[in-house]
Amino acid sequence: MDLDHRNTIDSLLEGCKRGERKAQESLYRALASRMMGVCMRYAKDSYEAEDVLQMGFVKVFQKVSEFRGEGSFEGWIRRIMVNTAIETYRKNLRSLNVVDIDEVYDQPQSTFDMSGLELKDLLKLVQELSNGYRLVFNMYVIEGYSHKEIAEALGITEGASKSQLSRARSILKEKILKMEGLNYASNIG
Amino acid sequence: MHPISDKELDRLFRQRFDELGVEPADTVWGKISDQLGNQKNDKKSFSSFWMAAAGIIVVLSAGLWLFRPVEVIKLQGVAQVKEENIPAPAISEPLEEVLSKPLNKDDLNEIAAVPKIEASEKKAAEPVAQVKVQEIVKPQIEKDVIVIAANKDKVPVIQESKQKLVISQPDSFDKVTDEVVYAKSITKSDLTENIQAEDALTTGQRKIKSIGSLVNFVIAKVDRREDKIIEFKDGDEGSELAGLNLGLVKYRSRK
Repeated sequence: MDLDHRNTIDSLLEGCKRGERKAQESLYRALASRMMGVCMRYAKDSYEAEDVLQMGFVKVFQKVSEFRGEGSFEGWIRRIMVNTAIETYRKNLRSLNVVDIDEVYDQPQSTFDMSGLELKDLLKLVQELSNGYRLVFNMYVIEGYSHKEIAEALGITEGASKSQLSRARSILKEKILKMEGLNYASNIG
Repeated sequence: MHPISDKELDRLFRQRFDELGVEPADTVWGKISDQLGNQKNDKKSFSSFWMAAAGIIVVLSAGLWLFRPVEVIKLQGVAQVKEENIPAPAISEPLEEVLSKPLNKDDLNEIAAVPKIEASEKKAAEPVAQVKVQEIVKPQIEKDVIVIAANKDKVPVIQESKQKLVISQPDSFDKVTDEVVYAKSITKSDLTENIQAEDALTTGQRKIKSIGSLVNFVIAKVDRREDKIIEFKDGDEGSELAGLNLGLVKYRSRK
């Protein structure tokens, strides 16, 4: 995150606390792309991701007065997005069936702009994971949660969190090898 | 095939996802704005409710302040002070001239001078002059009585003065004396003062009353309920708040 970007976001904080629509929109415009990236990792497609993004930003503007300046404003917003994604997952948990990996492969993917093909492929791989695997992998690897925290957030045991992470990793490795073949080594150096 | 370690895998995703940015659909901000807008409107209507309540309170307190009881009692005090403060006699005009002048508002300043003349006439005590004086004064006194009688029901305070005059009236017909004439003259001039002073005050009082009744009239046109939103009654001391009906809050004076 460059300094100008950070200053822009911090300067919008006060306006958002006063409920100024203009400041809210500016904050949204400044962060929508990055936060959509977060939501995309947790969602199975862009529609679900946009739902999470919308709910997350509404929460941000409703709770902005609770932000005490501990850590960066953007980091706080990012945590709200992740928590919203987790809530959505837990809400949907009962209605979701365990989806076989092969079926996931056949799901149509919505199109969106991406800065690089490789990143797009990696995102696709994560999105193709089943919901539980995807959440644990994101939370542990990208967000840096501990297994204990993941277990509490998702309402599972630590052992379940560990095994789901292990399973997610092996699926991803397998797919990467399949996709890249012998060339994968040059990608990860 | 080169195996991928967990560390390598995690680092790959962590590094690449750090720069992950995806433009959401343009419609998302509209949805967020709508959702926030609805909540904001709720707040707005809530606050406008309080604004309305505050407005009603301001109007009511202004009304109560404007129509608060007015003291009208000072009237007699003023008249007495004037009687007592009659200065030393000094004739500036012949009595006939003064008395024959029709009394109007322009002559208000001269009214103070009238008793002075009479007082000095009393000292002279010439029978010829007395008769003349009486002749001149009589019709005017009767006129005054009529005027007073006309004002009687409107101005209760005047009644006392009128009664005084009525009591002294027979004397003027029976005895043609200086005293009677002067008493009459004094009564007349005092009364004229009283009437004019009271007229000024009652006009003010009537005006205040009429505002209360004007409000009642307007409210009655708008508010068809038995208990009007606000109602005034004309009491002894001006308009008073007789009733208030703000839906949940009701007030009614039963006096």
